[in-house]
Amino acid sequence: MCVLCGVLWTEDHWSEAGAEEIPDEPDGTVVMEIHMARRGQRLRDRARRARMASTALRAWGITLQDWEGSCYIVRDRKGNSAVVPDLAQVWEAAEDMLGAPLDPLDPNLLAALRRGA
Amino acid sequence: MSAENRLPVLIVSGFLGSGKTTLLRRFLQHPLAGEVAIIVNEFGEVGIDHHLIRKTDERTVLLDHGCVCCSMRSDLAHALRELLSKRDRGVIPRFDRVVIETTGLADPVPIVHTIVSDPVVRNHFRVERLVVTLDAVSGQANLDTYGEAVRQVAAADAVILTKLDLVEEEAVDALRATLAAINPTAMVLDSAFGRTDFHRLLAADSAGLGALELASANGTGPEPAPAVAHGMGAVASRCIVIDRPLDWHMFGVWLTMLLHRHGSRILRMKGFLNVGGEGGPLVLEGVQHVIHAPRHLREWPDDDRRSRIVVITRDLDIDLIEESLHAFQDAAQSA
Repeated sequence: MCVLCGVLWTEDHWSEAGAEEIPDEPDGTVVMEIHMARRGQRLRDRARRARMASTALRAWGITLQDWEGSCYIVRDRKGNSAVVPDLAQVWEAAEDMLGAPLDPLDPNLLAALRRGA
Repeated sequence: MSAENRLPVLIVSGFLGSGKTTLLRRFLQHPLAGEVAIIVNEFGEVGIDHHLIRKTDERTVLLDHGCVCCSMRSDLAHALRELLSKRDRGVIPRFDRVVIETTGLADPVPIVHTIVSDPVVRNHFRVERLVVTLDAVSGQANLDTYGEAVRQVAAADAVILTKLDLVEEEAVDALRATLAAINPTAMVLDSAFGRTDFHRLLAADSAGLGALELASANGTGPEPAPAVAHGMGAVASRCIVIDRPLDWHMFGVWLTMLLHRHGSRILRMKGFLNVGGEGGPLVLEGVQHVIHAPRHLREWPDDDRRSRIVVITRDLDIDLIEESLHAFQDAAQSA
């Protein structure tokens, strides 16, 4: 839990792993510079992850936003929103807003992605 | 606790009468086994020399909106926690490894899910290997008839062929071909009366990435295995090869979405991912909805720098999966 805002940190989902590892010092210690570098990397990763999910959901006008590094907010154009802990939970929230299932193999979704690419 | 210090858990699964217990008995006599704590489904508390055998009940808690593979084995999590607690209090002797023997009809995926997901268990234990025994006498018939048998083989890191002395060589060859079609990533070892190459089975670099090495050797990836009708539908496998570095975050978006919709039909996923940057690939491993925490390798195992992902599906077109992966990655370039 964050002692300042009282937000519970969720268990890390596999998709929260970074593309790159910032290693410990050779003797195994973690100095403040490393801690801060990891924190910055984590926040940049979460922002990028949210942007990628918003890109995938662009055809439906649904967006994802990181909230203080602790959860994500799913929003649609009607003003609905949902708080989810990780990417795995995004799709159910988005389906609830859409009232329809989301399928990454759907040819219409793939065509929409290509049009936007 | 660091990943290296977590206790290895060897999961032994396999259909009814396929030789799990025989294999386990031989393993316990092998010097490689070390001090072992054993968790079995069906036996009462019986002491075998210095080993521990505990009984667990089949109590299973299904998570909200989860499928069977995402169910947590609360009895197993409790048993593992209790083993730790008793060891730390000196009630039981130290142990170096845990072996879990499943029932013949069990789907091993909830066991893997429990070990990688339970907040206490995952900090103290890691899945070492998921080993599945398959007997040459009735293995083919079981795979043709029972979805449970296919699920076990598809999830396996290693398959141990048993009772080879009881059938003709042609039947064994046919069984090997079926195995390769269902799960090309699995290491296949022969055994006789429970004796097998335990050194190879437990070698650190034998994580069943054979199909990925084959993909490198062929230049473009192995020929797609034909979709085969088995006890649980048409099972197909293929190695998807991607030439350019992947956007890891878009890959996570794509895979979580894919597993949300089709997780129960994706039996296995295993691969090396080139996500750019220095160092080696990211290792991806998953069975159905359950994805292990990705591992960073310090260096690539060979000269091939392409991403290679072996996918095993049931009633799902792998060409469509590959097309979808490329479409998402293309979209990431311009986002």
